[in-house]
Amino acid sequence: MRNFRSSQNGNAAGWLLVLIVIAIIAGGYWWVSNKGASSPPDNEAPPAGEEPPIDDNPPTDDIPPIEEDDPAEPPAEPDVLTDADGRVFAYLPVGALLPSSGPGFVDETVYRPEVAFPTEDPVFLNSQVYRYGGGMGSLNGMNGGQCDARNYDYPWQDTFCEHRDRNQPLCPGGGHEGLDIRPHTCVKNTHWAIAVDDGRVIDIRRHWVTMQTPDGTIYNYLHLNMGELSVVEGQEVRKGDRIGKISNDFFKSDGTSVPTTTHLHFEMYENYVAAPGETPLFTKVNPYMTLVAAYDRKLRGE
Amino acid sequence: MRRIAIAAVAAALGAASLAALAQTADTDAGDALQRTLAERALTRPRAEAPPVGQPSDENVESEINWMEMRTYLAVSARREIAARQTAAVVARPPGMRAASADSFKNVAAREVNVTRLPVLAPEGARIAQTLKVYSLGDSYSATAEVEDGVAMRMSGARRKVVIGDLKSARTRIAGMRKAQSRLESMDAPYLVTRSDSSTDLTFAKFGAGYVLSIMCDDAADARCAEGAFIEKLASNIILMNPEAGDEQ
Repeated sequence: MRNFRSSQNGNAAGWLLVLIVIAIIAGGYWWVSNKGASSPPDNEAPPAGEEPPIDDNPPTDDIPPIEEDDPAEPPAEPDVLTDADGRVFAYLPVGALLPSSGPGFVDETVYRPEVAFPTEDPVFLNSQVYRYGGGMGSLNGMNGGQCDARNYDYPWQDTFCEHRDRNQPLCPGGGHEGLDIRPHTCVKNTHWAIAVDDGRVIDIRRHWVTMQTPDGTIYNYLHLNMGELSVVEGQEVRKGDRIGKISNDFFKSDGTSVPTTTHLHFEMYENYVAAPGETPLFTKVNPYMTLVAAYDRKLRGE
Repeated sequence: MRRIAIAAVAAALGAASLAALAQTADTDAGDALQRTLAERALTRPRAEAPPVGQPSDENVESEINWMEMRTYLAVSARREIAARQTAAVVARPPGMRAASADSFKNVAAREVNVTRLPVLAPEGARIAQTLKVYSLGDSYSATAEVEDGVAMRMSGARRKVVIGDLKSARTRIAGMRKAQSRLESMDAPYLVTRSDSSTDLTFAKFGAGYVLSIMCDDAADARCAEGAFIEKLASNIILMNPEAGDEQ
């Protein structure tokens, strides 16, 4: 019996030792892998469906420098489109949202094949809520701040019908009927949003600027720096005219501010039919492929 | 006692390491997802722009049925008179009535006069005080404050995009038509959609397409989260250019 107990004690001590060694190794591994991690954690995550909080100290530019090749041998031009930084423009198919972020909505229509892209600089379309710095980023293991470099890179990803709380015919289960566009860098009030077409500014209110074209198309630009717009209500604008700088303005009508990330929320309304002779529907549409085509032309210098 | 202390330390270390491993796994999951997204991504060939899902026609002009507009205005007026005669106190029945642009202090008559489709807007005391109209000829928008915390925009267009053979968009259109109800004021099918930036009610009348949007301070506000408020707003519509026609 004594021998058995002493053998038990010996086994327990052995297992404890093994446990401690494993704990030390795991802790060390964790420390090494997290040392110099991409970003400090953001503020407390907001409730589901809300916009994420703001970084207190966004870096001036999180984009890693592009490695230069040997100057003696200029790099061969890739056979795919690249942006002004030399990065390959890549995008996920329309309707392919992040896991657990909503149903998405597949609509491959390029509603306006001639419009300009709504920003001057290269940008990154992706989720403000379900990625690094977003209130729901942890769902996909994307823990970090909004300025995390991984948010400022390709591929683009559709966010139309990303999950929100309200149910509706277009996005069953509730959805986001627009696209979120991160500017070239995480620095707010720096990067310009521009008019995508000739038209007129028909509404400037709270945190949005709305323009309409003679075709009837309506474009909504949200979260610009509303204190420093380049347009006034009623003004006629030409394609490419500057409208305002991308920021994180988000106000209630009493002027109360709502926290959000630095991004342009872009919406598009169309009056459309499936076939001539039908009565039209005038609703928001998914601008994703319209923007992919516009960015394609922008990168070609058209 | 000593054994208990050792066990406690071991348990604490074990829990800490498990938590650390979970976080590491979480970070790894994010990075792994990033890699998966990159693998699934498409690129654009530099040599030639790939074909895009272009509609069959981007700008089909609808014929406006001005005669129907005038007839419907008269029908609405008769309905209103009849309602007044049948009850001592009665709410105005749903319908459309004429109102001159000059009766709104912030509406420039020129904006209404150059618009080549019926200029419609919802009726309301606060709306009348704050209403503005901006015209682009074949389209227009009217904007106003509706109540505290709610703004509105009503837009109309006579040109339309014809989707053609693009299957995904056609499927969506069919689904939306199934969800339509009847808007009594305009005797037309309508559809309400909601998102985090607005609640929209769309209908077509006299050959043009219209969308009434309301924007609430808080999207969870019942005035935006439910259909009743926007449906009531659309139940009494003013027509600002009753004399208009294509000859203008």
